[in-house]
Amino acid sequence: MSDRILLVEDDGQLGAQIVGTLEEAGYAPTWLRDGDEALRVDPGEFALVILDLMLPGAYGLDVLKRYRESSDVPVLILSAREDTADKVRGLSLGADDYVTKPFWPDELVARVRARLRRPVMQRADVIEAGPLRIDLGAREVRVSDVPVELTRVELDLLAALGKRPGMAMTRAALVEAALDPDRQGGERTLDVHVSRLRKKLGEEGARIETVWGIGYRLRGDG
Amino acid sequence: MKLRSRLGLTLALLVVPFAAGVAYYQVGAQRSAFEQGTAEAVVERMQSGERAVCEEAPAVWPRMGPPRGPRGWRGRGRRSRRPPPDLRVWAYDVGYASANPNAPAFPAGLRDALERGEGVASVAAGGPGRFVAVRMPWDEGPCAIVLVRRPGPPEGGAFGRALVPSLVVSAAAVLLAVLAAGPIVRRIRRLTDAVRRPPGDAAPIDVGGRDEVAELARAFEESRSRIREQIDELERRDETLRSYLTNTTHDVMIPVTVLQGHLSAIERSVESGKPVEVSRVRDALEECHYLASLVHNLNAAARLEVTAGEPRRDPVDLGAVVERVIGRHGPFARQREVELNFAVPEGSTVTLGDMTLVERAVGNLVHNAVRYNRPGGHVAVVLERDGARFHLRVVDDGPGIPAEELVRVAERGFRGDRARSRHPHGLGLGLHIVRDVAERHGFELRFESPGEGGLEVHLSGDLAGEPSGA
Repeated sequence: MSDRILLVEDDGQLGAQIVGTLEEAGYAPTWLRDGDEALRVDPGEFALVILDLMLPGAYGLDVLKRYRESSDVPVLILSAREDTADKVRGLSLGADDYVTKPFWPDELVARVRARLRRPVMQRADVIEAGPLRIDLGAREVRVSDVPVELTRVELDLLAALGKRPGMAMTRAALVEAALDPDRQGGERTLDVHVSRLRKKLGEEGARIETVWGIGYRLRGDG
Repeated sequence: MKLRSRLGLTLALLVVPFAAGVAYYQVGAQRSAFEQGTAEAVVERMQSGERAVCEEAPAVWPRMGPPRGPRGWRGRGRRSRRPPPDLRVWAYDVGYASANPNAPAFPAGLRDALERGEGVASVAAGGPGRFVAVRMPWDEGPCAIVLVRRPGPPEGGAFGRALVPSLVVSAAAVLLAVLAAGPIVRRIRRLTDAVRRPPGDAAPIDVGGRDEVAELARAFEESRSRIREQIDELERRDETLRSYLTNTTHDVMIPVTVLQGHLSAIERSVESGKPVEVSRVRDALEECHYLASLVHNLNAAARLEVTAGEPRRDPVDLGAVVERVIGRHGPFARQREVELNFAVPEGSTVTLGDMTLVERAVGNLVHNAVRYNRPGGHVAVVLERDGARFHLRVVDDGPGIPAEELVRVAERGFRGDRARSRHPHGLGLGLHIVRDVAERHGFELRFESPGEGGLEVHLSGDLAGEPSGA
């Protein structure tokens, strides 16, 4: 993973820290400290832009507007101001997300990762998590290329979890996705199905994690 | 300039031209009457026989002084057989030539006037009296024009003499007007005194009566009470701001001091070669997290206090809000060894509101759930759509604070820093903001303590139209 990331941030210490954090996370950051300088850059060369709104020279939103004229690169806004109007304007001008200062290094990396991962998730028809492979079209599940026989309910459950790997799903949502509430009962039945599914998947069964207070989640590779 | 002087001067400036105009008209009217009277007398006399006499012997007419006739030369109604000695008459033909060798040359000014078609005209004679030229109703023969010299209305100073009486009357009027302005001026002075009273004076501005001055006094009084209201409002805001600054400083300085303490302890450990305690570093990080959250909350509280009523109504994607809040509190929860999970429906879950305030409210709920938990505890944030409503649930299994206590904390109006200091680390302020934000957005907020322990907070409200995305 060596996505190029453009960072536009005027503060020296914060900029250096973000650059360090991004490098540590495996990205290749380019750091600009000035809005006017940022206006001269081709945003198409980057996989993602992290843009501070309060910049010397051009205002951050002007930079965003200019980038949006030529590119769909994801833009993450950094904002220290508790100003809703600014955020709303940023989002309406085409920013993808914002992070309010102060933020944790992990928090920033998570937001960056989420942005870079998103498009891949959307076109997934085949979900792979380690040796586990779920083909939603063919309704077929394999572990290390060995087909696994699943009931319709179990397959629906796994498909529902697999559509958004790493995201927890509520029991209610899973019941709705996989069970016929009239005949097959509710959340108790769901737990039984999950337990059977885990057994059938063998070692990969542990990928189906119980999430406290919510339901279940399929652990991806991220 | 004083009002009365101004009134006098203005009236005088208006009255002098008026008086002059009246005098000018008077002089003109006198002269016109003199000319018409003379002309009528001359024409009547000539028509009643004198024309024949004149045409018979124009060189000597009028042979013996002025001709006799039924009417005298002195104008209408007065008859005299003998012409007065100061009256002279000459006849001219249409070419302004006289057969009488003693006749004076026809005055050029009168000739011009007759040429213009006027039947009669007069001009000041070189000696006493005026020349009056009268055109006869015929225009042939040596007696087509008669020139008369007779004493007319006084010449020199006629205008001046006419002006004096109108000026005297006008001056008297001006004087009376200035005197009559006295009561008005006194009322205005009273009004001035009333307006000049110091702002603290409770007595209203009132000069009595029902005239324009009284109305002005009422307008002053209205504007004075408006200004007083604005001053009160500004003073109230100033007081709020001052207490906000004092409280903020106080609230912020505590975690900063704690943070400094942790950092210098860590520094001492490093300097003396001792291992740094992980708990110290975690406490320092926690203090940072709290500090940021506190400043955001103080900001939100100040905004809520200043902007009463309806919040902004921008589309707010609650799924994104939950993800951001989780992202923000994830590292904090890991430090505290609390498992923090969330579930949001696919696609966007959009409501209308103030993005910053909604995020702050959700953040405060999550912050409290993590902070008042124990290592190994859980926090779950679940967002669901149900028809046209969203439903957000923040659940924890910590020992926490009982729901009833939270309701009390949230409901107590927070004033100054009393609510904040009641609970450690701004619980009161955070919950108060949650409650205030929910109220303004029309969200429903519920606290529940489930039987198995922990706390459930429910926040629900209307979605903004149909959810987009799959």
